[in-house]
Amino acid sequence: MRRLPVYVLIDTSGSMQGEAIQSVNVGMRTMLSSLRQDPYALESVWLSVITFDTEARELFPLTPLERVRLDEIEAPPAGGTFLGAALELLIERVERDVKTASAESKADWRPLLFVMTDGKPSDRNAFLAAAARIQGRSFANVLACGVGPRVKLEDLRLLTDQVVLLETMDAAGFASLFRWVSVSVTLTSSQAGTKAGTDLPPPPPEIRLAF
Amino acid sequence: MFFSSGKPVFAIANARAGVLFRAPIEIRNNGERLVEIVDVKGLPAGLELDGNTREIFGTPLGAGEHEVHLKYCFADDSSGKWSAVCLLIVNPDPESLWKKIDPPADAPWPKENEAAELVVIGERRILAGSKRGRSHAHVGSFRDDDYFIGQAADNEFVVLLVGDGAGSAKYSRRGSALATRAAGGHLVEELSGSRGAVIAAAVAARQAGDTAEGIWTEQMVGLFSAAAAAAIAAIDAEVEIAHEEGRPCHPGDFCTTLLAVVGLETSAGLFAAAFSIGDGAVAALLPVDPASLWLLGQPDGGEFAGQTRFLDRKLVEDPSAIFARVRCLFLPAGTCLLLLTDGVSDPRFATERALIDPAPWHALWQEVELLLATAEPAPALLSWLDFRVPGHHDDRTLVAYAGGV
Repeated sequence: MRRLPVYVLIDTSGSMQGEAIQSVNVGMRTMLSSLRQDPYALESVWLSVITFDTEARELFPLTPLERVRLDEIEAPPAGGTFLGAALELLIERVERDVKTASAESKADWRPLLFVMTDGKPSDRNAFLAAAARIQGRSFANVLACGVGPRVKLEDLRLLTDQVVLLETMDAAGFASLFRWVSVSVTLTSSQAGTKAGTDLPPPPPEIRLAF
Repeated sequence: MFFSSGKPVFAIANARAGVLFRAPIEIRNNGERLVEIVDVKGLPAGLELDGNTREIFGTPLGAGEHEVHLKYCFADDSSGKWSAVCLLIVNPDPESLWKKIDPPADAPWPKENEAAELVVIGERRILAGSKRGRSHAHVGSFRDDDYFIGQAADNEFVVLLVGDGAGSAKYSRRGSALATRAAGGHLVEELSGSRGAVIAAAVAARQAGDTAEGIWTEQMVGLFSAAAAAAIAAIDAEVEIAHEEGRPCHPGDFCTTLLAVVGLETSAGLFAAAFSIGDGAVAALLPVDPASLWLLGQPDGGEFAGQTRFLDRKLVEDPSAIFARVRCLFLPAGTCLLLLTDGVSDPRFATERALIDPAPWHALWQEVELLLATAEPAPALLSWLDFRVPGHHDDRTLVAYAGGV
C-alpha cells in the first residue's frame, strides 16, 4: 500500500498563545475535515504532527488519515522557538518511517512537509544544519509559512523556495492558510498516482508569496 | 504535554460509514479516580452505547463529525454528576467519494475513456483492454494509457505493445497513442518483409537444434531500435504539425513509457522478444506449469513511488542502451504472454519480490483465462479492470496472448 506521508510542524512558542494557537487548532481540524472528503487523501495520506517550543515533540507518529484524532494543541507560556530541534526530530522520523523502494515493500510517495512558525529559531545553529539536510532530502513539497510580524523569512528560505507569509495572526488568516495547505495535500496526493510533478495551487490573497 | 484543567478527557476512535464499529470510550487525565459513564447523547445514527461494556457500537449510517455529550461520575462519589464533550468522527467510505467526470469536449487529441478488443488467430487469442483510472475520472482528465496489437507475415508474428503516458506531461495521452502505434506499425511492417523472414529462419534453425550463436538478438535489437526511433519521430512530427496550427508544444509534453513484445509461434514453441522502457511489467508463463515464469523486462523505478523513465531521444540513439533493454527467449509451445502498465502491476504485485514469484502471475493468468472463456471477453476485461484496491487508481492496461498451435 503506497502511502503519502505528510508531516506538519507547528510552532507552539509563547508568542503563539491565545488567539493564534486557537486558530491553529481550528485550522487543523478544518483541514482534516476537508482532507477526509477527498478520496485520494482518505486512502493514501498518513499524517504526523510535531510541535515545538522549548523542545520538539511528536504529537503523533505517521497515522492513516482515517484514524487521526487531533487533541487540542497548546502553547505553554514563555516557550522558545526550537525549530532546529523540530527539524532534527522530523529528519529522524522520516528516516525511520518513510519507506523507500526495496524488494520487500512498496515505496511510499515522496513525503510532504509543512512548517509553520511565528518567530526566528532560538537554536540557530541546529536550525541551519537541519535546514541543509532537508534541502538535500527528497520531499514532494516543502511549504514554509511564516506567521506574524516577527518571523524571519530569510530563515525559511533556507528550508525551501515555497515560503509564504501570513501577516495577521487571526482566525480568518489561519483558516485561509490551512485551506491552502489542505488543497496542496490533496493535489499532491492526486498527482502522486500519476507520476506527475507537484505543482501547487496559488495561495489565497491573505497569504502572500514571499520571494 | 500538559492539560490546562484537571478534568478527565474523553475520546472515541474514528468510525467509517457503513462499517461495523465497536470501541471503548477512552478516558485520560482522571488521575487515580475511577470514572463511570452514566449517559451518552448525540451519537450518530446507527451507533449506541453498550450498557454493560461501556463501548460504543453499531454501524453508522452516514459520514460526519458528531459532538457526543457524556455524563459521568466518579466511582468514589457517585452522587456528583459531571458532563463532558468529545468528538466522534465518522469517515466516509472512500469509494463513495470518487467522482466520474468526462474530459472537456473541446480538448485537443481526445481519447476514449476505455478501449478493448479480442483478436483470434486460429487457436491463439490476443485480449487487450485499457481503462481510465479513478484518479483521472475524478478530475475529468484523459486516459493516458494505450496499447497496440498487430500481426505480420500471414499471422506468424504477433506484435504487442502497451504505453503509459507521464502524468506530468500535458499531452501524454497522445504520446502513448503515437508511440504504441508508430513503434507497433514499424514492427509489423518490417516483420512482414525480408527482416521477418530472416528472423523466422534463424528461429527455425535454433529450434531444429542448431546451437550456433544466432542472429536473432542482433536483428531484434535493430528492429526495436528502429521502432523506438519511429515512435520518437511520430511525436516530433505531431509537435511540428501542432506548431503550424498555432498550438505550441514540445516533445516533453508527450512523454510515455513503452513495453513491446514480438512473438513467433511455431510447432516447436514460442520465440519471444521484448523491449521495455518505464514501469509496468511484461512476462511469459506456461499455464500447465505453475512454477514457470520468464520476465521479459526489468521495470524502471526510483527510490520513491512514481519515479520511472520514459522513452526519449538519447535512449534511441544509444545502441547499448537499447541492447540492455531487449530480451529474447525460446519458450515451450503453449507459453502465454502478459503486458501490463503499472496501473495493473502495482496493485497485483505487492512487492518487487512478488514480480519474480510465479504464483501471482499464474493467479493473474487464471483470471484472464476466465475472461477469455466468457461470451464477450473484451467487455468482460473492461469490467475486470475496474477492480478496487485502495490507494491504486491509475489507468489500467493489460494485453494477454494465449498461445498454442
